[in-house]
This record gives sequence, C-alpha cells and structure tokens, in this order.
Amino acid sequence: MNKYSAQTDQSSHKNVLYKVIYTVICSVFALSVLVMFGTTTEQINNKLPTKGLKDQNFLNKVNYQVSINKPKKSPVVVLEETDFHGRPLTASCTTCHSTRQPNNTLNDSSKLDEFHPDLILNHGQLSCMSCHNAGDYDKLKLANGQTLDYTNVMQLCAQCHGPQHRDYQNGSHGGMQGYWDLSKGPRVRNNCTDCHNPHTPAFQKFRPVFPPDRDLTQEHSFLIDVKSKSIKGNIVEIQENE
Amino acid sequence: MSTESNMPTATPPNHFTSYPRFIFRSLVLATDGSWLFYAWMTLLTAMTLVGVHAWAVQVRDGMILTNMTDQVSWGLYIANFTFMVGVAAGAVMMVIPAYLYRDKEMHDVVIIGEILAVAAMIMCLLFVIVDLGRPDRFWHMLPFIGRFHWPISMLTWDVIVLNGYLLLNLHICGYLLYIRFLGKKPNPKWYIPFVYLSIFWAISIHTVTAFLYCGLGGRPFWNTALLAPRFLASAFVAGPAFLILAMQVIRRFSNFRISDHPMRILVNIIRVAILIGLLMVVSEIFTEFYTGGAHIASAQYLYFGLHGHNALVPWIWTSIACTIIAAFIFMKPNIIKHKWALDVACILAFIGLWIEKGMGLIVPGFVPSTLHEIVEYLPSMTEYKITVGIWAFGLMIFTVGLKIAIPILTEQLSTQQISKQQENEVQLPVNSHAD
Amino acid sequence: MSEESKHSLPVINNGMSRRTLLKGVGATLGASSFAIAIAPIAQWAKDTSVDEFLQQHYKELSSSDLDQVITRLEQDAKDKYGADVTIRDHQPLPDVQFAYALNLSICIGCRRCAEACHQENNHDRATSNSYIRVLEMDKGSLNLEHGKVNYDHPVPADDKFYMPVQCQQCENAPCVNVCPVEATWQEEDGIVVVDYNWCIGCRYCEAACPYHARRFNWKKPEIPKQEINPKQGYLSNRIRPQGVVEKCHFCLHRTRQGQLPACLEACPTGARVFGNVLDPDSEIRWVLENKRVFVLKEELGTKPRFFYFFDE
Repeated sequence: MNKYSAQTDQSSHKNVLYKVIYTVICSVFALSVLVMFGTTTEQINNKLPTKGLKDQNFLNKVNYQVSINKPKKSPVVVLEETDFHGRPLTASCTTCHSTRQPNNTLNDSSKLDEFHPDLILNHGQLSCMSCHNAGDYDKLKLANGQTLDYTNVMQLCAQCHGPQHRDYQNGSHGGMQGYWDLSKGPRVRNNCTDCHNPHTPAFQKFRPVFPPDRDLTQEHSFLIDVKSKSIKGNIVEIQENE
Repeated sequence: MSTESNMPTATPPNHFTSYPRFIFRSLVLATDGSWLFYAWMTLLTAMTLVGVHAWAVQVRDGMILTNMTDQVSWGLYIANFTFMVGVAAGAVMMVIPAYLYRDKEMHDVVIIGEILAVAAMIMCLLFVIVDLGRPDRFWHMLPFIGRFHWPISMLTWDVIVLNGYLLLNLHICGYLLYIRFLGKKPNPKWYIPFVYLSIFWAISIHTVTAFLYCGLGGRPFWNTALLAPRFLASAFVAGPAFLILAMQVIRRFSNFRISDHPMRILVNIIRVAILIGLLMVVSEIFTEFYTGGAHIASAQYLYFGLHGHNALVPWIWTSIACTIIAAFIFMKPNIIKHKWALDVACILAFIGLWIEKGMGLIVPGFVPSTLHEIVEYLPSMTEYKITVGIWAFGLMIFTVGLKIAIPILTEQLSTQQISKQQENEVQLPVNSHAD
Repeated sequence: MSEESKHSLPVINNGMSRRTLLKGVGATLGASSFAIAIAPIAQWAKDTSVDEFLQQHYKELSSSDLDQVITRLEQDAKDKYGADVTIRDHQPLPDVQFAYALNLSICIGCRRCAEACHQENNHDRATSNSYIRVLEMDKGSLNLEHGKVNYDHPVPADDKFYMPVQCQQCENAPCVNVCPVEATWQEEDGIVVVDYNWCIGCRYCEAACPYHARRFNWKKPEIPKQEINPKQGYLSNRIRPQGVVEKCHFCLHRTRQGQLPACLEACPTGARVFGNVLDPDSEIRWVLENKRVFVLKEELGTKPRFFYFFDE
C-alpha cells in the first residue's frame, strides 16, 4: 500500500477513493448488525394487549347502584298568578285539556293558534297523540295504548329507537357521571329527554367551546358565554314557553 | 537548555511535570497571535457571549422564547446538531486515507480533521443541551447515575457514539501532540487502535443519528431506509468541504505547509459523495411524488408548499441550487488549480447541505403534524442567537486547536524548539505596534 | 512549570509584559461579561431546590422519600400558586386494564371534553392547553389529512363527523421506547405516565408519537389560584414544572379511585366509553365485543387502548 500512496498521480487518488468507499460500506454494515441486535430483543418480549382478557376470574363486587335521572312526574304550566307565599302557581295539563276535544290527527305545531304557540314539532311523522295520552294528559301512551308515566319516558322512546336504547343500556350512548367501578361509588345516567327535546329530538347545532389555538385571550369572553348556556333541551321547556 | 530538553528522551519522561507543562504551553500558544487573531477571537467571544446570554434567558423563561410548538417540537437546534454530526463524521475522510491506506501527505495534515471532529462534536453536544427543556437534569442521562434507557432508546445510542467519538478524537489529538511536544516518536500501540476504532465510530455517529429519525414510524417523511445513506453522503461532502476551506485559510495565515495532494483526495471524495447524495435526493423525490398519497404531504410542503403554507420552499430551493452548482464546479477536471472556484464550490456545498440536513430535513418531518395540522416554523431571534453563539464557540475551539497543533507539528514548539519559538513571538507585537 | 518560567521570563520580559497585561485584561473582561451573560440562570436556579435537583426516579423513591417529595410539591403549589392542594400517589388497581372507546356517530364536536381536560388537569390557562384535540373530518373519509382542528362554526356541521384524539395509551408505545432516561413508562393498568421530575425535556417522545398526544411545557403553567384543581396525583394532574413533557393519563387520579375520566363526564352525548376490559360485564367490554371498533394508524403497530367505532 505504501508504494501507491507515495505517488501523487490521479490513479492513486482513485485507488484511495475505492478503498474509502469500501471502508464506509463495511462500517455501515457492521454498525447496522450491532444496532439490530441491541433493539430487537425487547420487541419480542412485548406483552399482548389481550393478556388475560377472557380467563380473568373477575370478582365483581357491586356495592353501589346506577341511577337514571328521572324527568318530572308530569310537566306543568306556570301561571302568572302567585300563591300565598309568592310562589308562581302551576296548572297541570289536565286542567285545560279535560275541557277540550283531542285532535288525534294533528301533527303540525303551526296550527296551534291558541296555546303552545312556540312549540315546534319536528319528530319524524309523529303526531301529538302518538305519545300524549288523550285519556289522561298527565300521562304518556305507548304504541299499544298502554298508559305510561312521564318518569318512564325512556320506555316510550325505546319503542322506535331500539339501537340507541340498546347502546344506552350498554353504556355507549347518553353519557354518565360518577364511578366506572361500582364497588367504589355510584353512577348517575341521563335519560333521553335530558339531552333530546322530545318535540325536536335532533341535536341542535351550537358553537363549539374551547378553540384549540395557542393564544386565545380575546376569545375567552365568548367561551364563558357558551359555557353558561346548557345545551340540554328539556321537557320542562314547555313551562318557559308559556 | 538543550541538555535539559534532551533529558526526557534519554530517560522515561516524568509525565507529572511534563504534561502540565504541555498544557501550559498550549494555553500560551492558544492565546498568542497577531492582532488579526485577537480580533477574530474577540469577535467569536462576543458572539459566544450573546449566545450564552440568550440561552440563560431561555432556561429561565422557558422555551416559549423559541418558535417551536407541540407540532414542530424540534427546530433550528436539532437541525444544526444533525448537520454538525455530519461535519464531524466527514472529518474521517482524512483519517481513512491517512491511516488505513498510509497516505504520507494526508498523514501530515490529518490532525486538522481530528481537531475539526473535536470541535464539531462539542458543538453537537451543546446543540443538544440547549434543546433540553431541563438542562439541569442532564445527569439523568448518565449511565449508572441516572437511568440510561439503553439499548431501546436510539438517543442513548447517540449519546454513546457522540461522546465516544469526542473522547477518541481528544485522545488521538492529545496523545500525538503531547508526544510531538516531547520530541519523541509516537508509539503506534497507543493510538493506532484508537484511530481504527474512530473510523468505524465516525460512520456510526452519523448512522445512529439518522436512526434517531428514520426509526419513527409516525413520521413518514423520515421513515425511509435511505435516510442513513443520505446522511453519510452529505456528511462526506460537508466535512471535506469545510476541511478544504480550513486548509486554504491555514496556508494563508500560517507557515504550515500543505500540499495539493490531500486536497485532491478530498475533492475526489466530494465529487463521488455529492453525486451519490444528489442521486439519493432524486430517488426520494421520485418515490414520493410518483407514488403520491398522504405520505407526500411533508415533501409537498417542503418543495412546493402545502395549502398555501410555504415557509420552507425558498430554503430548500436555495439548497438544491447551491448543491447542484457546487457539483458542477467540482466536476471541473483541474479544479484544484483554481483555488477561487474551489472555495466557491466548497462554500456552496456547505451551505446547501446545511439547509438540506437542517431546516430541510428536521422541520418538514413535523409539517404537517401527525394529526395533519399545518403549523409552520421559522426560528425565533433567541434560537438564532444561541445557534450563532454555538457556531462561534465551535470555531473558537477549532482555531485554538489549530493554534496549538500547528506550531507543535511544524516543530516550532517542542521542548527543543521552545526558545526559537519565543524569539518569534517577540517579533509579533513589535510588528503590530508599527501598524 | 517552574523551570519553564525560569528560562522563558528573561527572554521575553520586555516584549511580553505588555501582552501579558493585555491578556490579563482580556481574560478579566471575558470572565466578567460571561458572568453577566449567564446571570439569568442564577435567577432561575433560585426557584429550584437542591432536593429537587437531586431527586431520584419515581421508581427508585422509597415511600418515605415520596412522602417528602409530595410534601415539597404541595408546599411549592402553596408558595408559587397560593393554592392548597393534596397530591396523592395513586397506585394501579389489581385486575384492572383500562381501555377507552369513542362513538364517532354521536360525537358532535363540541370540544367539551377538551375543555374539561383543561380544567381537570391544571393546564396552563394562557395557551389553552388540553390533552384532547378534536378533528372535524369529512364524512366518507378517515384520512386525517382532511381533518381540521380550529373549526369555529355551529356543530355538528352537515357532511362532517368529529374525531377527538388524545393519548392512545399504546401497548407498544413509541414514546416510551424512545425516551432516553425512562422518564415515561406504561403502568400495570395500561396507562402511560410521565415522571415530571425526571423528564429532561428533549421532546424525542413528541417527535415519536404518531397521535400528537404529548405536550411540552414551553413555560411555567399559569393558573389562577381559584381555578386550580386541588385533587392531584403525582403521576397525573399536579401542576407541571416548566420544560417537561406531559400527556393524557386517563385521569388516573380519578380512574384509579373508580371514578370516570373528566372528559367522559363532560361529554354531552355519551360518545365516550371507559372501563376495565378484564371485567366481562363492563361497558367497554360490550363495545369491544359488539361494535366494529378500529384504532388509529393501526399499520404502525402501536397497539392502542383507545378504540373508535361508528353506530351505522
């Protein structure tokens, strides 16, 4: 090798060059082997996520209950008069409806010219009497004619919305608060009408909260505004409308 | 005088006294020079201090002072780190011909490459440190004291290879200079094995650094097998380009004689490496754009801009233009005779690759983000200041290293020559005083 | 040294004295300006105690060590934020493997989960940080490239669906693999946690995470005293120091006490399902067994614990 490098002509540079390239390639190869040995062993020992999924002998100590929010026993209308203590007087549905003939085919809220002027019905092909009970306006009615308390409204909804009801029962619809572990604490769940207005059940569009940008100082007022407004439509809204 | 200095060669030298003397003489050498040298060092010191101050403020107030975000979580620091690893690795292109193929003339100047490796390595470590959110917890990374996640984390491999390469080069430089200082012949047993190890090691520093990025499955722009070879190819352009420039400067400002031969070898290496590098860039671009699909988003952003975001487009085209022009100039058969063209080519190649490896590689890996958000990044003033500071500090180390090495190698400074050297030194202030 | 000076001094005495003086002046100037330049570090170091500097890795702390650390952290919260907080070290529950599922059919993109996360986890107020990002996606495509995070129109928009993304608590987590100091790891119950007092802030995990799940504390978090959530966990929502990485931890300070995560409770539609996959009667188990679930970027082999599904 010495005899080549002593020369300074072009061929010696080329020779050196080939050797340099050769050395580089060999080193890269050796290094790759080394790194591979170092890093792959751990990968094999990685535990699978399904570890013990089926054969786990699970002791389910349920000390607490899941409770479902119940709607008011039946809606009421708030009157302008107040009682002895200054509390507003309320009237139940039957107060007015017992004196009027039910209109079994009415399904258009715009035709309500005397009462419930702000009520909007936009719930499939349903008419008022699909759910309301002409026999007892303080109760609801199932499809088979059976009378149903307002508190059990979910049963009424479930008649049509089977998949949603199934999801709800399995915890993947409707939300919850409290404990996932019922051995440690209770859980509270919404009912359908906590979130869906039964007359216009589709979720209302609204401005999203909490924009993700880095600097939002000037947007904070808007945030608080939206926060204070509940998005939960409610059956008791009827009261406010009167 | 001469009897004193000959004593160490006759009997085994007492290292406890001669080594401190070597260090002291080195310090004297490092701080002596012409007014030009002082001006240069003062400038570098000032720039370093600006960087130090910017870093201190960054540590105090947090990295909010940088323009990095959770989307683009690495920026100018890591870009420079990646590039400097390449420069350090490129220095091995002097070591391989010098030691592996016993090229005599290269052997005479190989110390320049080794000093460059030391300086570049120190810069790399500094770039990593300034990128840390908690530099005070640096000790967590030390093996045995902290928790060193080896061998799983690629970064721990990088810590090993970078520090190892620094130590290897410090040892080789230090040993050779010290022995020359003593006026003895180096004992191959004490440095040749380390030289061979450093050759392998130089390749490893850049390969492992590439593995840092290309091992990340969530970043399609980096997740290419071509990354490590591309890194090496560009390293073997950037390193030698810097060395050629350095040698030209040394020729001009010192009496260290450097023949054209080492430069010719380096030019030949650059000629091959720059073409291989360009070929690999073209293959990447072809694969990305001909295939199409979601994976090209980063490349699209880098080269042409994406959905109106095009911060990096001028950078990358500057880089490509520089590299291609440099490649053409290097192809000129007798470029070595045209020093001016050679300098231009080296500067262009150096700048081109600095952009390509830095801003052109690190930043587009993050744009668009893993959730396909497009958050653009351009460095902040703090980042520029710190980066300039580290560059200045690196140049300072390189200058000081050469300042020590050249007199020792040209035997102006060995124990025999000290008095002669001192006479030379006396001349300098007189000259500059006349100015 | 002495013999060096012996023969060097007489020779250079005249020429060098001036130069030596200049060197001395230069060195003094350099040293003092360095001291001035580095001064901000000293101001910063005042806030960092020696105990904090020398603190060991979470897994190496004995229970008495940890008690001391927690006392110190609670005191810090009092001193720096004026808040009385309780920090606990919640341990993984036996026979529990957490998993999360999200129903994309009923998510409306209201970002309440992101907001709840922000409040629950003591995030920096100024940057509106949150572990959750909600993507607005085109119906008919799961391509994240068409996702948009900063939508600001009434939701849910027609022809869009919404996909909240947070830490997927991967079984084969790239972020855990790349961490050079083992500051992040997966716990027994599957939650990937960070030791905020061990992280060095290199942000390699941020680069490695394919889900943009990690956040860096670019500055010291600012939270008004009254907004600080005082119920804190050492590995979860305690106020993070500046310069470290943090991430979603499935609200382990809640979930390891049996509670539901804050993002789930905030969800107005019940799109979120959380629970113990080892419990055959759990909701999450029902979803995994009965819905066609998928994970994000499955091809990367990260094995997430966070599942998505559609009703239809």
